[in-house]
Amino acid sequence: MEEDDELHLELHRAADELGKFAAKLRIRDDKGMTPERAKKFMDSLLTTVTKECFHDGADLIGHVKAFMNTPTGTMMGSLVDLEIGVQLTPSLERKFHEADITLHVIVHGIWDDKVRDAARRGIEKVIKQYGVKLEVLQDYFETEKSIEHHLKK
Amino acid sequence: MKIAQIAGFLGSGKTTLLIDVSKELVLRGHRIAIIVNDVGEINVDARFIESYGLKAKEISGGCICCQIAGSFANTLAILHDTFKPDIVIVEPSGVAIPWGLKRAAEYSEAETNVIIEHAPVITLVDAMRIDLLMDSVKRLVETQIREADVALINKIDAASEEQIEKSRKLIRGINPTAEIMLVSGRNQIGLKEVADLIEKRVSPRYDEAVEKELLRKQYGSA
Repeated sequence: MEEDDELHLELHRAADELGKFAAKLRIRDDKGMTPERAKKFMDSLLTTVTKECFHDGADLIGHVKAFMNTPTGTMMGSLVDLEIGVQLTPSLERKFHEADITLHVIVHGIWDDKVRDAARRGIEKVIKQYGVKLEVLQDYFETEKSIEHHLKK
Repeated sequence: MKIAQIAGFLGSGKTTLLIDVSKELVLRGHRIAIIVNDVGEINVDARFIESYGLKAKEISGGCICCQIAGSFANTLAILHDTFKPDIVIVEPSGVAIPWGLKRAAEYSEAETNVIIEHAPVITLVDAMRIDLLMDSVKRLVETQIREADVALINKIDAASEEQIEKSRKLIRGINPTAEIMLVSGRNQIGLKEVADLIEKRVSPRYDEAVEKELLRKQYGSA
């Protein structure tokens, strides 16, 4: 490997000081979820997942984001600082029963496997709290955890 | 076709600024496409951006400045041939190297009949979290500031004077020639000025010698 490639790689390795986890989730609320309740759900989801990561050793949020897609509209949620709280950008028009959520968690201080475990624990807590059904459509842990993607072929 | 990159660490407000600047440029008559990139397999931002009626492409699974530079160049070529944007705004991953991204963008000239020019490299600095970031991810933040033409100190609506001044000193120390602007994505302070930068000004094309020099300054290698 040439010197410049090594420098380049070193910089990218710095990114792996960040622990990452992503998942696509589907929730179902048989009673129907109002836009107001959906906002509270999203707030709880991002906050709880983040707190679980901090409980397990994370010391900085990269970002914790989720995008909710429902038959009646969408909602983006983002959390960068627990003291500031979740920023929501909702455009939900009415009650819905099913929603797909893309969740993306990046924190500093713990590795991907710990982020995954903490995120899963957080998700389960919120699902239980809101009494909704959960289906994990995709879990990206296996593809996120490797440093291989930084190596030039 | 002009490439405008908006760099900055995770959570610095890139997506919010990018959406509002894009809307402003559309109002001015430009045809805007947006590319978002993440080193992970998925990116939630593309779907959010599209919910505003903007054209967004997601490139995931690696960093577009090196590992998947070919995918980036190919995406630019396809966008040029199909959507025909005059400005492509790029939100690189939190680890992309701006000069590497310039080089990757210029690869698209070999794929189709396009001439690439670059808007000034913009790096967002999160004034609210400047201390935290310098404690934890110093190298990444320094690199993004070092390669910026313009550094935007963001979140000035919520940051204290002390945080703003600390951000300014940090930028000056790392990159004395960078222009510094104060903005607030949330309150749209500085939005039109950022749109002006992208619309009216250009940054030099990729130069291997410059990139090497920037990397050496960062790491101090001989």
